[in-house]
Amino acid sequence: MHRLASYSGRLRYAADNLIWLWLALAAIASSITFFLDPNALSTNIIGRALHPLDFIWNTGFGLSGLLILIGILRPRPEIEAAGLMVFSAALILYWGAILAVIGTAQVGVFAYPALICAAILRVFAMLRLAQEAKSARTTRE
Amino acid sequence: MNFALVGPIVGACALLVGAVIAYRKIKPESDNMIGSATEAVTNAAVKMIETQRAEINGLRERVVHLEANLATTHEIEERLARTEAERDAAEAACERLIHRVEELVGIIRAAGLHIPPEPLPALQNPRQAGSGRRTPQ
Repeated sequence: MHRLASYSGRLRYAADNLIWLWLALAAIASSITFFLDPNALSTNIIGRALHPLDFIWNTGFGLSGLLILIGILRPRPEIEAAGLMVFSAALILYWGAILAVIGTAQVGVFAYPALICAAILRVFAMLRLAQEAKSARTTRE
Repeated sequence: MNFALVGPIVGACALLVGAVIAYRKIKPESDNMIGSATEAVTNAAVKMIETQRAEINGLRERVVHLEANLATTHEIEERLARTEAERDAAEAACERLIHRVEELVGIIRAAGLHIPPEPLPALQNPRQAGSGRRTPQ
């Protein structure tokens, strides 16, 4: 039985990770916007230059957004961690695409690496937590 | 294909592999890792509370000790005040005695009775005189 199975426990966990919940929703929204009209110039100027890579990173955004959302709301840390890594992969691809097409003339070029680092650091923290939980379980047994 | 994208593509692949590894490593502990984190935080908080409680008990003992010291200090102050009052009373009595002796010396001289060849030693306030010893006759 999961210790955070109660409604208030889940709500508390979601509130603690509100920033990641928000990023997951933003990633899903970005993906939906792309797939509604993949050829739209206004939202996909970089993707049109690097087709079909835009399908890959937008799929990554949608998938990772869903995984993070499920991982936080359930909560299932392993799903959340996988979502964060997929999010980082999609974001690093998008970051490279911006650098290749536009160069450094965009603020996002400096913001995305921070997001990638934050997501990877969070996964490392979760791995450490899993290791501690394993040690505690082994000690109890 | 833009060659500048080779790095990010390799990085993305590595991160996807990392996603699989993270999933497989976290999954067995998924049920209790958040609970264990909560437990660790709770234990740390309990330990901190116990430490502070011990400090408070120590401080309470010190307060009791200081209160005892304060009572002793008050007692000493009262004794000091009593001693000062007694000393003042003794000084006043001494003054009165000196005055009386001077009067008696005057009466004796006026009556033409025997007066010692040397005058009586000057009587002084014992505090000013120091020891207040009498001059041997």
